[in-house]
Amino acid sequence: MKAFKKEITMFAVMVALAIITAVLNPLFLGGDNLRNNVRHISLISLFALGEAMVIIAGGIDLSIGSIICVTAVTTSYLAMYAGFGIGAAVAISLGIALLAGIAQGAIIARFNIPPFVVTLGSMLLLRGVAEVLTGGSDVGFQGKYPGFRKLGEGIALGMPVPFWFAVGAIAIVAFLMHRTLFGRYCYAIGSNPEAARLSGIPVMWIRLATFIGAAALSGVAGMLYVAYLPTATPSLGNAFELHAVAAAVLGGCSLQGGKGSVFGVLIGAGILQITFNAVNLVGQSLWQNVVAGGVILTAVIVDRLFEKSRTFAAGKKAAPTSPSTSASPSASAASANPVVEGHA
Amino acid sequence: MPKTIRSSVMMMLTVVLAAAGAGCKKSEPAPAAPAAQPGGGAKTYKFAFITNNSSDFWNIASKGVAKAEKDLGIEAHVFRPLKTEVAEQQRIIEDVMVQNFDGMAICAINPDAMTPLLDKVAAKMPVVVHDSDAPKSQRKAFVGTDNVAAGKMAGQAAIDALKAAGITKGKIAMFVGRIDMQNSIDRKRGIDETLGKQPGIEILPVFLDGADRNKAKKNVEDALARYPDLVMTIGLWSYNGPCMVDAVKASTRAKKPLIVAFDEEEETLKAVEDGVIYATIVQRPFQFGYQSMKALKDVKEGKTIPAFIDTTIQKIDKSNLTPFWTELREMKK
Repeated sequence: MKAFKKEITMFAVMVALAIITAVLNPLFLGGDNLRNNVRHISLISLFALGEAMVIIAGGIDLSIGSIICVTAVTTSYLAMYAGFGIGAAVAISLGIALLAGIAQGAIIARFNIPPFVVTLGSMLLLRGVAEVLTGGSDVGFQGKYPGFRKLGEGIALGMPVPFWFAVGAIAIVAFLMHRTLFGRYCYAIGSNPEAARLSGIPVMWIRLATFIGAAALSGVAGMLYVAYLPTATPSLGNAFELHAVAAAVLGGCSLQGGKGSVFGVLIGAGILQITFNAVNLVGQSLWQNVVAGGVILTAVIVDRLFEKSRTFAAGKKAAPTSPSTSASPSASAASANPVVEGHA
Repeated sequence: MPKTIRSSVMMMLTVVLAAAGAGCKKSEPAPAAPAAQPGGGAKTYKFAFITNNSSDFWNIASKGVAKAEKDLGIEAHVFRPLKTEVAEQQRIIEDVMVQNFDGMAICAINPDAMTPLLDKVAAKMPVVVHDSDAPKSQRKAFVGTDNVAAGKMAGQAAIDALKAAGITKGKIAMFVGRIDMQNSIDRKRGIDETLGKQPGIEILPVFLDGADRNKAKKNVEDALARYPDLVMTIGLWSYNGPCMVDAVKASTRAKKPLIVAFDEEEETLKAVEDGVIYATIVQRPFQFGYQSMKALKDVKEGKTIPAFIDTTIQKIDKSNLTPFWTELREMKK
C-alpha cells in the first residue's frame, strides 16, 4: 500500500474531479457519456502506457503522436487507394509503427544519442511521411469497412471496443513491468543507467525494447483512432505525445526515470479525459486547454505537497534508526542488485 | 551484437530515408499541366493556391485548380496548412513570396491578423482570396460564396427540418474549427438571423475543435451528453458533417437530434441519402479553385475583374441529391 501512495493521491484527484463534474452536471453519469469517457481513456491509456515504459527506463518519446498519425494514414491510404484489403493495410501499418520504434530505439541505444533529440527527429520525419503520403489531404473510409470501424466505434460486452484493447495492453505491460526481470531492469536503468550497466544489465537492449513497445502501442492506438473517426488526417495525433507525457507524469512517472506504475498511468489518462469532458459538460470548449493545464498543475502541486508531508513523516520515523536504513532509491539502484522503485 | 545493431540501424535508416525520399518527391507541387501555351511562346504564369486545412473539401478545389491549369495554360501549386494555424499559413505565404510566383490565391485563416502580410504579398503580386474573405486587405477579388446567405440558407433548412419533425423548442449546438475565420463568422451570423429568431429555440455557444476531427467528434459526443433537450446539431465546416453523423448514430438517446451540415464530403452526402442529415449547404469548391486561377490570370493580363466572384450556394437534400452527387463524382475523377 505504501508503494501506491502517489497513485492514491492522484486517484483521489480523479475521483474528486469526477464528483465535482457530476455535481455540476449530473448528466456526466449518463450511460453514453460514461461509455465515451471509457473509450477515450482507453485510447489515451494505450499510447500513454508506451510513453510510461520509455520514461521509466529514463527516456522520453516525442514521436508517439506521429506514429499514431502515420499508422492511421497508412491504414486508410493502403485500404482506399493502394488496393490492399483492410486486414493487410492494418498489418502493414502496424509493421511500419514497429519499424519506426526499432529504428529510433536502435539509434538511441547504439549511438547513445539523447532520446529527446532522436524522437524529435522521428516526430517530424514520420509526420512528414504522413503528409506526403496523403498529399496533405484527409483520407476517409467513405462509408467502407463497417466491420473495421467497429474497432473504434463499436461496443462489445457492454464496453467500447478500445476498452478491451486497453485491458489487453494493460495486462501485458503490467506483467512485463511489475512481474519480470525486464521491468526490474527498466526501473534500474531509469534510476541510474551507469549503475545498471556496471551491474551487467543490457541497457542498450532494454532501452531498445521500451521504444519498440511504445511504438507498438502507439500503432494500435493509431489503428483504433482511424477506425473511430473514421478518417485519417495528416494532423491526427498532434500533441498526443504531450498528452502521453502528461498522463504518465500525473500517474507518478518521474521524468528523471525509475519511477511509475501502470496503475498510475491509467489514473493519469483518466484525469486528462475527465478534464476534457468536464469542460464541455460544464463550461465551454474554448476553455479546454486552460482547464486541462490548470488541473495538471494543481494535481502535481497537490502530489508534491503530500510527498513532502510523507517524506517529513518518514524522516521522523527513520530518525532513531541507523543512517544505513534510509538509503536513497538511487543509491539502492546503484548496488549490484538494483532495487525496483516501482510497484513490483 | 554491435554488428547486428549496426546493420539493423543501417537497414532502418535506409528504409526511413527511402520512404522520406519517396515522400519528398510526392510532396512537390503538382507539375504544370502540359501548357498549351496559347499564343505560342506566351509566358506561363505560376500561381499559388493556399487552403486553410487538409479537409476533403480542398481535394475538390484542387481539381478545379488542375482544370484551370489545363484550360488556361498556367502552372499552379497547391499548399495546405495542416494544423489550421495562422503561423503555419504565414510560413507558406513567406515561402511563396521568395519564389517566382506570379499570383496567390488564399483562404486566410485569420483575416484581420493576416491583412498586413497579405498586403505585403499584394504589393508584389496579385492576391485573390477564396472561401473566406479578408475584406480589409488589398486583395483583387474574393472568390466564394456569400457566407451570410449560406448561413441563412442553413438556418432556413434547420427551421424546415424542425417544422417537419414537429419540434417547437429546444437547444441547437453549432460546431466549427475556428470562429475567427470570416466564413465561420458570416455563416453563424446567417444562422443567428434566421434560426436564432425562432421562438423557443436557443442557440448554444459554438463548440470549437481547431479542425481536429478527433476533438470535433468528442465535442458532438459531449454536447449530446450535456443537453438532453438538444434538438439539432449544425456543423459549419465540411468535416463537422461526418463527425456529427457518427456521434449521433452512436448515441443511445431515444430522440436523436436533427442535423444540418455544410459542404459535400462523401459521408455527409451518404448521410443525406440515409436521412440522418436533413440538408447540407454546398458551395462548389471546384469553382473556388478554377475561378481563383482564372481571376489571377485575368489580372496579370490587365483585365478588370469583379471584387466578388460568386460561386453560388445550393441546398442539397434528398430531393436533389442524386444529380448533384453524380456530377460531383464525375468531377472528382
